[in-house]
Amino acid sequence: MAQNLNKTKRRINSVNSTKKITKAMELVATVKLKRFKNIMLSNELYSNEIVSLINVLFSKSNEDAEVYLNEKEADKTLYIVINSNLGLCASYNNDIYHFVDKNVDKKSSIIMPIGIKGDTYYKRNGYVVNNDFVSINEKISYSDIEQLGIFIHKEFIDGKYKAIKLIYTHYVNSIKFVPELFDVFPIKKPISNVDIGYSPIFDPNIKTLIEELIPIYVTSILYQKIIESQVSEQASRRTAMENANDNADELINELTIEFNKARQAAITQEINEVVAGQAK
Amino acid sequence: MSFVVRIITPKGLYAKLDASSLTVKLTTGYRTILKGHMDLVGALDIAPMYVVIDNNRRYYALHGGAINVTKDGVTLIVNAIESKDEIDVERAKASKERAETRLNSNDSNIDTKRAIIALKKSLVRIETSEK
Repeated sequence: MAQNLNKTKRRINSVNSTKKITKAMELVATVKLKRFKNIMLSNELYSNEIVSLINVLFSKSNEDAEVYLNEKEADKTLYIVINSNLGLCASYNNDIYHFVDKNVDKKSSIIMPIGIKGDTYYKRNGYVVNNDFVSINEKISYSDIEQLGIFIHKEFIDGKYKAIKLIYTHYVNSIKFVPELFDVFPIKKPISNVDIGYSPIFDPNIKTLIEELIPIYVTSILYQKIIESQVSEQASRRTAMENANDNADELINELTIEFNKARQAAITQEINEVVAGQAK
Repeated sequence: MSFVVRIITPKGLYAKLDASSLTVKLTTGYRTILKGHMDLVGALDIAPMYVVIDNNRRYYALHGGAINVTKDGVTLIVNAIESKDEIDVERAKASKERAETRLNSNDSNIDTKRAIIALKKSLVRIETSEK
């Protein structure tokens, strides 16, 4: 009986120490979530301005923008897929994996993973992987992402890929996030093809401006989506850790009851023995 | 006669200024913008720029981007910008030397384009800090 008691006590202690870890992880995730959310919100202004500028250029240009609006004659499509670098957010990564398995054709695509978890998974599952930019979301710096933007812009212009697509996690709210596909190249022409009302001076001309601004636009998109995925990742990790905490509490409660029962049973038995001994 | 200049970076709104004139370097050369300028879209070069506020020139190191002039004001959409006071001159000098050594070496692994941009940025920083 005493052995049983010790065993339960040891389990309670071990669950307690695990709970300390998950609690700490939850706090870390909460802080990071808040930080990335702030970055995401302050970036909104910049990306909106870029998009509206591109819209102005595209609505005023005819053949100059053609190169960006049509698919190239290549047989491969490049998918940039954003996953996490760290664990303890399995649902976030799994959602992306399922989405990729469902939407990406292994034969005609090349995957460019961002985040180490994705790199391992896609390699193991027989995708063609190019992992040159895998650790870009470890410490998110704009100039690193700019390199990726310039790189994919060049690859598309050189006609190496039919299209370039981005798979990221869209953040709906702190408990809901869905994987989504975004067409980087070819660029979708803005739906509102109406005249914007004024015709600005283009310095030097539309063609050069489009060439100059597209890499900036692509970088802005990549940065925005990487940040959004980070927000989703942290939110997912926080939820996972919150659940782990709740489970730990439940387990501790159950174990404590078990422990008390066993202790009481031992006492009762001893009393019984003593009483029985006296009666003899 | 002043107009609004908004400077936007990926980190959000950097500054909103009430300027009487703005001088920036586009890829085609320097251009000064006054109130009532025609609508204009242009690409910015890596160069120093200045804004005149109450007859004082304020200098900034600009690291490329785009400019959009509309009747509501001027919007500068830039990757990075530093005012004269924010520039770390020592760091800029160090990065200039680093870029120069990289460009002078014969190593074929070096990304020349990147080194040139780094050199250009550090030169702009140094130039702006001396204004």
